[in-house]
Amino acid sequence: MSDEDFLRSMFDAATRDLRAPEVRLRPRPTVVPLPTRAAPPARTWPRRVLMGGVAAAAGAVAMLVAVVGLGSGSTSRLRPVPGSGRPAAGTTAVPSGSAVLYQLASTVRALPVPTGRYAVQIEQQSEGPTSYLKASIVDSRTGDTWTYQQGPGVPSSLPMAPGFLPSEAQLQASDPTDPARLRAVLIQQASAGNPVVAQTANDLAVTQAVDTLWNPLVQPQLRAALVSVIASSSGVTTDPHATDSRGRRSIRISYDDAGLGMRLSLYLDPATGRVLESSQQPYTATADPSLAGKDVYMSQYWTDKSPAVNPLDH
Amino acid sequence: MAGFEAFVAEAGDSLFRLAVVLSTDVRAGEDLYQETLQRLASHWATVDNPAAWARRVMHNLAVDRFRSVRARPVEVAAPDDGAALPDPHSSDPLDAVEVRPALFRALADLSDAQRLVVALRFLEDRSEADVAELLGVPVGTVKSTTSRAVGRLRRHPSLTHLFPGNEAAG
Repeated sequence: MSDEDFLRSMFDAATRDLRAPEVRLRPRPTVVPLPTRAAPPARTWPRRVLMGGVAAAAGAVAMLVAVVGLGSGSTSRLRPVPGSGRPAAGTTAVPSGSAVLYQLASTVRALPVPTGRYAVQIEQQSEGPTSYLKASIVDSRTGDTWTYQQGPGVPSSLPMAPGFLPSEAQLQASDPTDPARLRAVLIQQASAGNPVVAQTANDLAVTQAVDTLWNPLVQPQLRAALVSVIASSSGVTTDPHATDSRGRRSIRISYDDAGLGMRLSLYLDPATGRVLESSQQPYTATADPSLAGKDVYMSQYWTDKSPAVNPLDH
Repeated sequence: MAGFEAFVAEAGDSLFRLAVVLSTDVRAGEDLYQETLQRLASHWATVDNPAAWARRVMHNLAVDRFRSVRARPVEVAAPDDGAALPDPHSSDPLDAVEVRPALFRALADLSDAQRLVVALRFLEDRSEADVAELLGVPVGTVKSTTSRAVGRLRRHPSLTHLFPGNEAAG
């Protein structure tokens, strides 16, 4: 018997009793765990990494060109003020980009807490040439998530995913609204999955804050703190006069994650700090193009209506 | 998604076995299998060749996960002595349980690329040309990778005495 035949018999003996378990599809999250980390625990924080197909690569190039174009002119590079959550005392010339974000945080902090049990978020998810509408209904008490979809190649609804997101109470318990403390918590959360890509603490803080901002259960106090964390981080570029792909007035935040080779772009509503659009595109040749993608958030609201009602039907 | 379900029904077991082999752990293989199919389902409408796509994605995911746990010891049973090691030629159905730790221990010491190529060549019984096409690399690369991997497996303490011609050394 040759070595190769021996190995075939060895592999066969080692695996012939294995049968595939039932596939448990969960709703495609707006954000998914970073591929650079170990398998996340079931209740891990979502990540601002979009799943995209190989077909997304061509679109990624166009998006990259667009982002680079936006990156000139009115944008400003933020100066690091690590962990402070606000401009350093005695600073005489606060960069305009961070000033815009601190002002946004102040605005958001004063917003009322919405009422209703369920947060509804309707978004358009794009991966290369393919896009579809997705409505997520999240129970603020449990994090249970119902998903409805419209588009080619996707089922119209998915089974309810129990505890898909942290509940509102869990969010409040885990995430302080003091920016300096929140920054430390975000770094800890992002580090929990045994990161294998060399990301700095600044990388982890920014990406985790960006990952968290989209969550519809994030209330104004926490959202304001997240914006402050981003404002206090280095490497963030801000365009206060941007518009998203739907023409909505936005504050655009960009950040290059060197570890992943991906450029994160986030368009925030200047009145509420909510995410209007987010995208992730490779900016290095070695980045994984399957991670490219874009989400456009069409609307977000709170309701007490049963999750059995499909918001996309109206 | 009917096509997806049919694909899983047809290819699920082989994909699962590949996931277990790439993970060198059954439980981690289950996670890898689920994550791979989750991604495949998300991209189903745009994927031309789901079998190849799933294998490439599975490999990428496996590399990330494998590297993240590499610092920790491989959780397989250590053989006590040569007499306790399995006979892969036996028809005893219990052999799967016996052989697996030894094989996985050896696979864990291969490089990511070697582990994938060996799995595609000998677990899935694919030709060198087929593996080359699947991975998008020259056939020569598959040949050299396979050769080095087989050499390492042949010399690995967990397997060396099981290879043909080496039995006496055990």
